[in-house]
Amino acid sequence: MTLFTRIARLFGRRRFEDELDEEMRFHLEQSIERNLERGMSPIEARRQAMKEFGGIDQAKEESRDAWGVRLITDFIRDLRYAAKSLARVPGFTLIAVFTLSLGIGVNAIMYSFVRDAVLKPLARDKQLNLVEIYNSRADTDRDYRRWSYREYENLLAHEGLFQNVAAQSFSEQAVGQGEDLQGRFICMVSANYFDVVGVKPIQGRFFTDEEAAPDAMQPVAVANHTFWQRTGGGSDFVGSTIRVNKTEYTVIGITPEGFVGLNTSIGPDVWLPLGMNEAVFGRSIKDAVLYPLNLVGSLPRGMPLEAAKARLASVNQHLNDQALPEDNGPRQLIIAPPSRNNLGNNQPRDESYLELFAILSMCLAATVLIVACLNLTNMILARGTNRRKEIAIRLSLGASRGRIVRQLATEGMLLSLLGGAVGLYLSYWAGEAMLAFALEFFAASKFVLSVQPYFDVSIIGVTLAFCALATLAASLGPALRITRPDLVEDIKRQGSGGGAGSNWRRFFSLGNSLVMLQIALSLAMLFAAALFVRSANSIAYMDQGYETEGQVVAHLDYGLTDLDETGLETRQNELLRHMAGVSGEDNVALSSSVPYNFELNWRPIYRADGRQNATETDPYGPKFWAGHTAVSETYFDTLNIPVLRGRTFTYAESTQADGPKVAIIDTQLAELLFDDVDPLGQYIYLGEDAAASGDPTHAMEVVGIVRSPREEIFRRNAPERIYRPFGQARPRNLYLHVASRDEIQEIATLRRELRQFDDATPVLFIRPLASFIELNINTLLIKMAGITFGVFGGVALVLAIVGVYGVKSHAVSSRTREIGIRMALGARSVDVMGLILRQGTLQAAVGIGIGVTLAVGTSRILSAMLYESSGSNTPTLIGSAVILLAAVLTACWVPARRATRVDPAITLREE
Amino acid sequence: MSKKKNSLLQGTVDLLILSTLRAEDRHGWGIQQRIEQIGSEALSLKQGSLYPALIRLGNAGLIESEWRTTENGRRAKYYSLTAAGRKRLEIEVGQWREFSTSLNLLIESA
Repeated sequence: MTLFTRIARLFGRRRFEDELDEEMRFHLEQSIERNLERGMSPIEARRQAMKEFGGIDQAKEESRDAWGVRLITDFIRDLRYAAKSLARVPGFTLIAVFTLSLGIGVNAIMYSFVRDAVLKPLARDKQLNLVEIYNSRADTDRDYRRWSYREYENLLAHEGLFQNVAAQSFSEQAVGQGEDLQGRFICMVSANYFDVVGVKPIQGRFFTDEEAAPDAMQPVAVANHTFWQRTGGGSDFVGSTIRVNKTEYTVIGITPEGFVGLNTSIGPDVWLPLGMNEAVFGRSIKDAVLYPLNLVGSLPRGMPLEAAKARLASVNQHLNDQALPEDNGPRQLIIAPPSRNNLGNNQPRDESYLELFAILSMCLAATVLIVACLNLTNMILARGTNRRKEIAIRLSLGASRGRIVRQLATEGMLLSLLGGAVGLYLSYWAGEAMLAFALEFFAASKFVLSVQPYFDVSIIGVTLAFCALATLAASLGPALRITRPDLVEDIKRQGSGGGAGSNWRRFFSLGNSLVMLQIALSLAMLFAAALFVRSANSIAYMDQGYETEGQVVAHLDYGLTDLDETGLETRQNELLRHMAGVSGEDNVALSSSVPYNFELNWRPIYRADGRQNATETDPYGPKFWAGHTAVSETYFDTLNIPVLRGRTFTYAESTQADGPKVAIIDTQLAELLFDDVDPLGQYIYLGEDAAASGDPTHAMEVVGIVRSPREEIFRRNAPERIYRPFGQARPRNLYLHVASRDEIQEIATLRRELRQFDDATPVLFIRPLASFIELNINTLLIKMAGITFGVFGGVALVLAIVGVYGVKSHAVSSRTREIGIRMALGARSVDVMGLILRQGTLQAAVGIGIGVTLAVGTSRILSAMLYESSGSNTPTLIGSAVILLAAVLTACWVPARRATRVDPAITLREE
Repeated sequence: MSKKKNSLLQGTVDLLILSTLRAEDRHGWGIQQRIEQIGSEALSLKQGSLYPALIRLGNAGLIESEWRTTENGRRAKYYSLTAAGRKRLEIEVGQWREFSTSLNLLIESA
């Protein structure tokens, strides 16, 4: 009880204390006076009075307790009264709770993003004082590279600055086997890694020093929580084995839910000890000129980043003293706050925008809540006008104004808490939906998505804070206004406004202006949402420069097999022949990369005769960059990429390692390289080494020119490309393309045929080619933006309608007398309805006018982000405006109809 | 102090306070004076515990309070019985009479 008492005492405590004080003082003074009359000395009289009274402090304390209980019983009575009076107006309650739940829900979900993306990592980095350690060429900020194990050991040995340093190395490897084989991100770490980043296993243990020591070759693994869940979440997971490439690893531990390393979003499936480097990469981690490591260090507790930077020089000196010539030195140590999106970056990136983004999005969400509250204020005021009689009766029965304000605020609080509960649930539901969407994407990608538990103490606390804010914003103002003593004046003033000037002012009153602004904003947001959705849809139909329908791709990694070069050549040629037998010669091809898969291999290209134009910076002549792909001879037919001039590769070129050196380039590269001659039959060098040799036998003849397929959404142009015969590159990691009519059926067929061809075919995945575009992160961004704007626009629309409804209801109830008089003077229902609707329509028109301007501006800004959708946006805009206008008029119509039901006799008698 | 003893004492004090207010409104000191006048030493208690009791009675809606000026011009909080308070007093007094009558009978016939 004491806790409640304490809370209860917060209200009106001062006044209570003062009164109690005065009362007791009066008592004591009377007592002393009597004692004096009885002939005691002043000191004696006082002593006696005090004695009879007993402990003053104790009496006060007991009084306070008794008083606190009173507040609580009052509060419970208010709550019951509020519940009853809200239940009497279910429509109002429903709209109010819904409005608040939108406002609070949007804030809760935004907070959960900010919490997971910014607050939690910041708190962790601050607590552990973590930095990422990069290195660049001395005195510049370029030529970054990662670290060798040798350098890492040197850094650990230097006890100048870092408390501890952990090493990690990210890579994509083949995880699983058979049907479950997938290319996924893994991370190899030093033994102290988990200590440094401050996590404890939820099951099992992490690596020991022995397991992570160089060349320890202990096949153990730590699994990500999400990975564990994806494999079924069995209780016997620790102790089971995971296959990575060709090695079976025993799972020794599981990381906590939501941990993906220092990142906030994506991370590896499993962590392996650095001691297994040779099994994964074929080279010992002790190899002095192997630089695979990213380093993360912890600074002494409380040391600011700037102070640490000032002490880097000595550490730097220590490292350079022990450098090898191969280290490309002298080097320079750079420390930076940990990145939130690092999968092996070798240089620091400025991520301060994340905090700014967090603040901005919270502000946006808070605006939604404030607008929701202001709309609610209008509704409560409208209702308050109707409740004035009830309130007046209570006031006349002797209730104090404070008591009634408290009671109205309790009603507001009940609404806010209901809204908060519904909002929290809505946000949770929306979060889950988005997560499901994201998980679907990440199941097909190479990373694990960090899934944080949604509910925690902080989100409950934040929601309660929003509820408190909503209570204050939405109910205290109206409560004070409704109970204002000069109520009659208020009614008179509102009822008698008739002049043109006051009409004008009424049109642009705070409530009306707010509503117009809301109409404008919701139109702009809905329009933006429509643009994003249209853009996302049009991506599916845009001309990619290759056939996307009916195309299926299998990713094969022969690096997982023990085949030697000759075996590989034979096996791949046989595979192609086998599949050609099943699906038809022109429908099967091999390639080294897939468009939209972020793996285009950019290589420098030179003209074989380029040396005539050599300069100091380009000693082999002008250099051009092009994306390089090795393809089999049927590739262009299979993907339906038009060969504009010349020819495709021959079977011999495509299958033999030592065939004639030929290349196919795209029109853009052709123009760049050969603006003066016909490109066909010209010779080029691929790569700096070939150009440096100047050996004509290394040059490639251009035999064909194609139109380049697109590689990403945001770039307007496809990249410059060069294609080489597959057999001359012979990548172990390759894609098998099959063109068919039915993608879904083809996936099953392909899987069966690959097994039949060779049970040991290392299939990482089989997917429709179109899925690379659909699940491309940029496509998803556009879709996400469409959903986000759609949700916000929808919320804004609902709020705008509630706002219009609230304002109009309020206007109608406060103009009841005027309407009554008008009707008594002969105005018909139609006239009254017109009166209300006319103003509503005008306001909607003003709002929509501003909204259209905003929308046009928005689309200008967004056009850089959006794939230019075909056709004009005007129909979309007009469509949105019409829907909005209809909604606004409906919201006006309900109170307008109420106005027509005003009975002049009753209204005028009431006054 | 045990809870039982407390509540018994509280009940008695409450009854005393209510009965002092039957005839006229009084301030805290006045209530105290009245109890002293009519009561014996056995009923005397620490004067300070009067105030929590007054607040409790107010919470229960049995008495109300108002700031007034005393005959010699001082400001004081006056307490008066509400309708509910008056009713409660009647019931309590009735119960008390019944109880004491039976107790008397019991003692004298023993």
